[in-house]
Amino acid sequence: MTKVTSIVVGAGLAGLSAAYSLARDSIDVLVVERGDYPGAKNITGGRMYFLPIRSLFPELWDEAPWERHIVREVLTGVSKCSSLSIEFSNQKYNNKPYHSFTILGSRFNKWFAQKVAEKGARVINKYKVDDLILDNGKVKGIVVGGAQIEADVVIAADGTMSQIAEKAGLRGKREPQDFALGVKEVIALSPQTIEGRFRLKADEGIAQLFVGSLTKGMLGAGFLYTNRDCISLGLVLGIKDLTDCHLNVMPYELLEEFKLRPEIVPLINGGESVEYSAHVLSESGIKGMPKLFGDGILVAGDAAGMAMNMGLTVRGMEFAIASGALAAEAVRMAKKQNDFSAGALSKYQDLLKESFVWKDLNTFRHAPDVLANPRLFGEYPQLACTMMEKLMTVGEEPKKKLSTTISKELRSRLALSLLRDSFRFWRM
Amino acid sequence: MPGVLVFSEKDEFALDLLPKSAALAKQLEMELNVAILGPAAKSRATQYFARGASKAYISENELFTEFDAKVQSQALFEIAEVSQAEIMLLVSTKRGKEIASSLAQMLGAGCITNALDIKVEDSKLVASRYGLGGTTIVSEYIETPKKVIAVIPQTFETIEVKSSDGQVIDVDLKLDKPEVKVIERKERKRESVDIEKTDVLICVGLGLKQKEDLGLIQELANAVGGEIGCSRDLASSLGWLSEDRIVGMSGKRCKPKVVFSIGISGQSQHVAGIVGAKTIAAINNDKNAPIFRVADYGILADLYEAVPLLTKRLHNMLKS
Amino acid sequence: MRIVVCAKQVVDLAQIRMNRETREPILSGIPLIIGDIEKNVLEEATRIKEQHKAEVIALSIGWPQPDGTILECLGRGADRAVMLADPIFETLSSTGVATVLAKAIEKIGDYALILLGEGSTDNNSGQVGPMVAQILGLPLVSYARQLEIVEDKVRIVKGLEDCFETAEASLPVVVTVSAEINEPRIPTILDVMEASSKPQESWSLGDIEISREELEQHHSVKVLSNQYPEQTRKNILFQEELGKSVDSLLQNLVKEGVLER
Ligand SMILES: Cc1cc2nc3c(=O)[nH]c(=O)nc-3n(C[C@H](O)[C@H](O)[C@H](O)COP(=O)(O)OP(=O)(O)OC[C@H]3O[C@@H](n4cnc5c(N)ncnc54)[C@H](O)[C@@H]3O)c2cc1C
Ligand SMILES: Cc1cc2nc3c(=O)[nH]c(=O)nc-3n(C[C@H](O)[C@H](O)[C@H](O)COP(=O)(O)OP(=O)(O)OC[C@H]3O[C@@H](n4cnc5c(N)ncnc54)[C@H](O)[C@@H]3O)c2cc1C
Ligand SMILES: Nc1ncnc2c1ncn2[C@@H]1O[C@H](COP(=O)(O)O)[C@@H](O)[C@H]1O
Repeated sequence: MTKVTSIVVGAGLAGLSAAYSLARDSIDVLVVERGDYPGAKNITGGRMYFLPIRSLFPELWDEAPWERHIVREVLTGVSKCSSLSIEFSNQKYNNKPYHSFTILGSRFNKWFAQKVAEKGARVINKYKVDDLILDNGKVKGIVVGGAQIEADVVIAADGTMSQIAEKAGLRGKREPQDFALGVKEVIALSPQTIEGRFRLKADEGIAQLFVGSLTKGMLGAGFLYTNRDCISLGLVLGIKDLTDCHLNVMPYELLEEFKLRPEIVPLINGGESVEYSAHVLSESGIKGMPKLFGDGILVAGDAAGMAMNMGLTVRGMEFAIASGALAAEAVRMAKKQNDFSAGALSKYQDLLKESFVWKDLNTFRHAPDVLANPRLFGEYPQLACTMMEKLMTVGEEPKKKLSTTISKELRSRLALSLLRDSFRFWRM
Repeated sequence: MPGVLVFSEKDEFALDLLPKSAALAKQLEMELNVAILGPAAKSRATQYFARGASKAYISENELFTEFDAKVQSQALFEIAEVSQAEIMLLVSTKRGKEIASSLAQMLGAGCITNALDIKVEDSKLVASRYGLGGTTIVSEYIETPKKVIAVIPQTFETIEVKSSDGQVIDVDLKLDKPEVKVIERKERKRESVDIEKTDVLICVGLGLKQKEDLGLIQELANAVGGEIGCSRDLASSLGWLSEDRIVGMSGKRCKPKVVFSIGISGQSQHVAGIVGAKTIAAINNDKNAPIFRVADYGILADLYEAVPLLTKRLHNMLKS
Repeated sequence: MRIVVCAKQVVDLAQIRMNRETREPILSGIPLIIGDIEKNVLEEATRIKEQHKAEVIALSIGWPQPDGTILECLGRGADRAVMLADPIFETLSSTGVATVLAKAIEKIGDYALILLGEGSTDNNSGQVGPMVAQILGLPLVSYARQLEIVEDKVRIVKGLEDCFETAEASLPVVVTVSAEINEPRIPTILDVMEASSKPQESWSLGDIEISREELEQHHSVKVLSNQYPEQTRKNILFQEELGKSVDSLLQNLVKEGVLER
């Protein structure tokens, strides 16, 4: 039977990062990816914070296919027919090292895989790992389309729905509230058009988030990121709300409605929709993590539930990259002792706990509960818009004093919950 | 005088090509000649003259009794020489492409096959063909002194025959015996369908899960009075339908009023066969399916739900 | 018996998009993959190998380097592979491609069977096979949908528009195959892993003793334009509740007068 030292299941950021680290340390590694090419199935919104991962592979990042570095953040609350945007820009965002970038999974992962191959790892696409070879609960390798490949250690980096972690018995049943659904469209526009419409210079980008009536009161948000020659536009929706919801709407219908909003139309006008995708994300944070290691197996990235809805944005990419690298580090140590038992591989968890991954996930551990609050996605954006409308509009009637306008809105039944929610939000 | 030489292994195809060739030859100030090979070549020449040929280079050599591409291209190579042909216009059947390619190689000529059209532009002979598997139309011309172009059969309007005279030149060819022996020939069973003529075409593809489900498609076809066509693999690999029903680059090019494209991804080779339709309606359950980008109307749905419903509504509509 | 398989790399047609302003295809960044018909060609070679003692050599010329295609050939049963990469191949016409292939085949030597596709996935010109046969002075049997080796002969069923012909020729011979000839099997992951350790050679123009000047002669077909046909389709996607979608579709078709009541 064919045997290798290590197998990485999935060529997402977690898997590629693990494979890159292993190959760099001359450890024999085979990456198996079911997509047509690395990146084909890596749906992501597309913003990566650079600083946490910068030191991991310093030699790599200079040539990475970044789309644009973010120079402006926009938060937009929308109600049925109005919207309120807060724009934030920071001179520092234009200084190197850049604070965050947009990326496209398809381009970025393809490039990353190439680097991994150059380091000597084998990346095989278009094959789905169906099962693990198990021997008394110990992982001994993988089964792919009937063929078996043995390995000392398998790194499960197969994304949110990780079947591999499940097959290894590392994870129990999960609930709908643990998941969100992301739907996304990529709309092609020339770089000049993008720069003109968003007031950007070459290489500069914006990140815009939308909350409010676009999700019809469901947990979720919309996002818009500018890439080099296209725009990523999408929605992230809580699956529980989506399935409980009496509205019976399909996510892509919401996305279509989103695209028709007057705030969006002029931004994407004339662009060609080049890709539509939907993907499940884990939302449960640290509480929903599986066991991260077993005999002959480690779990990294989304497969280990290391993605999180932090406030309004989803973060997972840096966690994927960092956890992949740490899993590789644990394998390297295990190989030195030639011991791939759970005990030896548990080093991975120790390393993680010392890293920003664990710390961030821990800090935001209450986020899912705080965010499971429908007011955040319905009433508050509505409230903000109504207040602005009252402030800004001059009608036939004489205009009321500002203080009365505001206090009247705030005195409404929402006020108390607003206070309570703000406090919880603050603590998160 | 330099000439245009027209040839097909089948008279009917060569005759279809002649009037257009005559027009081109005139524009290029060349003589229009033809090659006719095989039994009764001499008597067949009159039809060629009727369509504008000046000279017919013929040979009734017995080696032509059986078709052999190599023997024929050898013959054409010699005829090209004696007739001072600069441009060889052939017909892009499978046999024709084989002849065209071998001939071009012998002549050191540039070669274009599957031409959709030819015209003279800036005194160059410009041909168009499908590129990138039917995705695009490539327009190109040949730069070598001798040129070989094979045009898809029945591309040009057939023009009325008017009789006129021409010169028959019997050429003595030095030919090698064929290296390939044909030991059996079986006519293809033709199905009497004419999907190129129907007003309503129902095209079905690999979205269909099993042969039995063709019943669903037939019911729809009955409801609208349409004919069933299909994507290549449904006929060629799976054999669920006759190959006469293949629509696309290697099948039929159809021009119905409306095509219902069902469970077809819409790859370019297939789409080349329906671009002539007035309206294209597609049913597919994959929002990214390229067929939606070439269709007028699309329904994003499972065909197993959509087709029966469509059939039912059509029945109601046509009844009322 | 030595079988040479000619395999062409093509851009992944499913991923090409149109530049809206020029209607030209956007080809940059589109992955290069092995052509569809090549899979049938390799399957046939492998099938022959399983019945007779044979060595299968894959040959591909292209630019950029057709290494993905070569790897795919090796995963699909070729024993070794030869590739030639040179920017000049990008614009070479069929006579040029055939010339290079023929030279490489001669260098490989000792061939009994040369297999090509009846038409490549992108160009579908069907020229290269007959041209290679012409250059090498070998018999050609094209459009094969069945192939059998009987002693020192091939027996082939050719699929033509109006008939099926059973033809016979002595080895060595050039054969072009149709997609109907077989159903290519999907290589296992072990085949793919093994592929990367099979021998591959990269030859230059010098290796096959062909000069750049000679090849320049084969830029005989000049492209004036390559554009998407003018597209006036409406691209309306109904994605309401199914009943409503069907009704909307029918209403529109009736309104356009393409469907009679
Ligand atoms: C709509 C959306 C927006 C997001 N926005 C952001 C954002 O802006 N910022 C951010 O940081 N994060 C964001 N995320 C989260 C982020 O994309 C993920 O956390 C991150 O990409 C996870 O990487 P991964 O390698 O763990 O998993 P994935 O990228 O999912 O990779 C898993 C890989 O494994 C492969 N695979 C699965 N099963 C098998 C198998 N059995 N055999 C072989 N291969 C297999 C898959 O094909 C896939 O390539 C977003 C996610 C979504 C869906
Ligand atoms: C040189 C060459 C020439 C060719 N010539 C032709 C030609 O003339 N004609 C031709 O057709 N092809 C031709 N082909 C083949 C062509 O490239 C494609 O392989 C073929 O058209 C694909 O057929 P398809 O769309 O039926 O199958 P697929 O590409 O497999 O598509 C099936 C579609 O059905 C959809 N589907 C699946 N299940 C359902 C469901 N339940 N409900 C609704 N939709 C569903 C899928 O989403 C998918 O889009 C040629 C190829 C080559 C290389
Ligand atoms: N660049 C190439 N390298 C190897 N084989 C080729 C190449 N181009 C064409 N062929 C072969 O010729 C066949 C027909 O190609 P074409 O004549 O372009 O339709 C292909 O299916 C291949 O087998």
